[in-house]
Amino acid sequence: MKGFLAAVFKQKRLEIFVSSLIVFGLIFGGYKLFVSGGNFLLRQGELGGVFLDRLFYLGWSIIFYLLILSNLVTGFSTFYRSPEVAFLMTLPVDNKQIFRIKFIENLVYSSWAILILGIPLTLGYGALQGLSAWQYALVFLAGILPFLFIATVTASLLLMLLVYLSRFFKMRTVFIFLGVIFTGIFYLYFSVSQQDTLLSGNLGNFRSLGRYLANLSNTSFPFIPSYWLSRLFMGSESLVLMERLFFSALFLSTALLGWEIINWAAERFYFHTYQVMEGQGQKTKRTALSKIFKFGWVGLNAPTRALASKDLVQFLRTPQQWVQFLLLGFFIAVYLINLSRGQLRFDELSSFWRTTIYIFNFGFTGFILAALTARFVYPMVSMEGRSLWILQMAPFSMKKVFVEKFWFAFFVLFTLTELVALISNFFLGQRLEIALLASGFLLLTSLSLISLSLGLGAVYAQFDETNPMKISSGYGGIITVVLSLIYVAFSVTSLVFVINLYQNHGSGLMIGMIVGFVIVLTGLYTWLPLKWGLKAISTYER
Amino acid sequence: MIKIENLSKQFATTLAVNKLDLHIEKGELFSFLGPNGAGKTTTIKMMVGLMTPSQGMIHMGGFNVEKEPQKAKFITGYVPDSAFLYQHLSGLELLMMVGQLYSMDNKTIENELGGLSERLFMKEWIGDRISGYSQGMKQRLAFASAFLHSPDILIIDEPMVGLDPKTARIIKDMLKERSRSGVTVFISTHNLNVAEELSDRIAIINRGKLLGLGTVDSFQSVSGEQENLEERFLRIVEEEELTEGHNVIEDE
Repeated sequence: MKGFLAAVFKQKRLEIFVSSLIVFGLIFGGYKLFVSGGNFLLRQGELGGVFLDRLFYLGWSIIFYLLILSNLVTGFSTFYRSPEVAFLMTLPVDNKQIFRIKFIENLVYSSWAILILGIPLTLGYGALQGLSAWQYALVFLAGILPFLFIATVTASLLLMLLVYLSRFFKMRTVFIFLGVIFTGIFYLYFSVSQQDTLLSGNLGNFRSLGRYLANLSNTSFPFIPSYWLSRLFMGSESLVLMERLFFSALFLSTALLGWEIINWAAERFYFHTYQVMEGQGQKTKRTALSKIFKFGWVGLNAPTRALASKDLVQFLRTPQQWVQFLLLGFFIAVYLINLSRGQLRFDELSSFWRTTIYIFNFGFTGFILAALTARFVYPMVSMEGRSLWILQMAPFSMKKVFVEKFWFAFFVLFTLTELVALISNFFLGQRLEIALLASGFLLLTSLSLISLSLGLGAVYAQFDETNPMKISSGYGGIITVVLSLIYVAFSVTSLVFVINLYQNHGSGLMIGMIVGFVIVLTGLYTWLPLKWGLKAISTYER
Repeated sequence: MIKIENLSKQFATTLAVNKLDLHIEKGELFSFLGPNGAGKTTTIKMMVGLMTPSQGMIHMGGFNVEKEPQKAKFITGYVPDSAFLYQHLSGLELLMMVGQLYSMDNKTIENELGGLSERLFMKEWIGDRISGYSQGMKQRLAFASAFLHSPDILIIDEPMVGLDPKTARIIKDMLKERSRSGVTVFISTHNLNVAEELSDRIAIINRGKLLGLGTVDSFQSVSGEQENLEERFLRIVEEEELTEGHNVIEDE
């Protein structure tokens, strides 16, 4: 017993040590990368500074968007589906108190993983802005904390509204309606806010870059907290203190107002909406999706067909999955619309800026792929849940299950990200061979990240957890995100070298060596996690 | 048909199954009795390949479960004690999926489904999602999925959990029919009435050790005294607990 406990403790300590090392590595690496990249851009003159600011706005806008999304998804189970809530509801405890506890739980659950991405951004940008220790403290206490809080308040209110509306309409109808409204608002916003020039016309051939940056500036909408946070960092030279105090006060007052509103809403609507959700558990509907099981998928044998049909139907019937996938798709669409509306003439730009935007675009696509794999591929094995015994009992090895999941994910995600890469490179006016080079790198990135997420998802499987978002934000999920981002960083850096050598007629041998390095790295990222994952799933007992 | 030899399973410091030996013939309806935590479910999970034995071996229809798991699984149907089924699928979809996992073609699956859904009274709700099913409905669906590919061996862990009397009767009849047609049926239960009514032979297990093995009659009349199965079962288990794990009865 003593030996067993010691072994468990040793294992836990090792896990904590490894994960801490990886997380700190990511934060430090991200910080160094952002600082050196930022310094490089700043050396390019005024335009580099503007580009850097736009990246910072964009970074926090993405984080705000992800926070609301993750709050919404985890909120479903935290506020409404958790067995603990059902138990608490039977106790003589005020519903508002239950809501408050769950609110804090949801805030922590949905924020901590995303914050790991925000820390290097914050530290790096702060270093470039020359923030002092007290300014960092101010930014953290009066900026980042209320920022997280406001995202949770917004998502919780939206969630209660959605659940309330689902009493009158199907949840799917509510989501589609909201999607249409959001799309309409965004479209109108982009239509009226297009700035043809960010910079004055005398910058000559920078006009196209100006348009590109102006389009990115749509993320700096002044009524969202990501804008306030960005401003809290920046501040003009002469009004630095006043601006920082203004945005701090804005954050704190908004957070306090949010707390009042959410308490008011919880008192009136939480129990009511909880009952609505409870009632929905009894609804069952026959749908046309059943036909998927009878569909004659060409080239697939019966067991593989069954596994693929099951994965597809389950995905389409889990709102936490398809809604988030849809919203991520919507986010990508906004990015592509931005590019298409920019009417860029890429050939007007210098080679340096062409390459910079091309690399940024590749990095963005890689980041999207990393987010998609960590969010959707990582929980695939865990989502089998306690029904895993059905597959374990089937007359084939678990390798078949694993292989099916890999190709299922690869088919969907590779197609999606390749489309994004090809369309965006088309809008950016890239030459065919350059666009195809990015596509080739993306193929390797897809193989690596899907294998990594699937493999580690099996190693760190949580079969008792039904919420895919919670599965993704667990210990293994964070390691997956960190390792994915490290791969993307290597991939981007390698692409920079290859493009640079190609454009400057550099050594073909060197290009071959760099590509070879990426292929070897891809091999390791693909083979090792799949091997570990397969071993884990094949020997799983419960 | 089922051969278990020297089977043990160790979990950390707990010996869940201790050197178990069982031989069950083709077409036999065999009940595995024991109190809660006796090692019944662990034994069953090793039999169906969901757990690996720490020691010993299991043959199902001549196939070694560890060495030829796929062949062993192909001839086995399993109903777990708690039927966790894919909540987002309908009963119909689940059964289609299970049939396809056993490489059955859609036409054969549909034919089998017709008979099973009628027999188990599932027609009305089989197209609805499993998330809305009661425990009994899930249990019936689990039975249907185990029967679907017409296995040679049926392993059932606590067969009557959650079933209403009418469905319980139907399940008992179906198990008897299948046993008569040559299917080996292995039931684990602590419901002595079920064991008494259905079984050709019974085994009693506690703390992972086999305490008794024989027909219902042999249990009821030991040493010339007439006892019902419940009294006999309780006495065997109590004596074993008093003697701290020594075998009490060797009935064959």
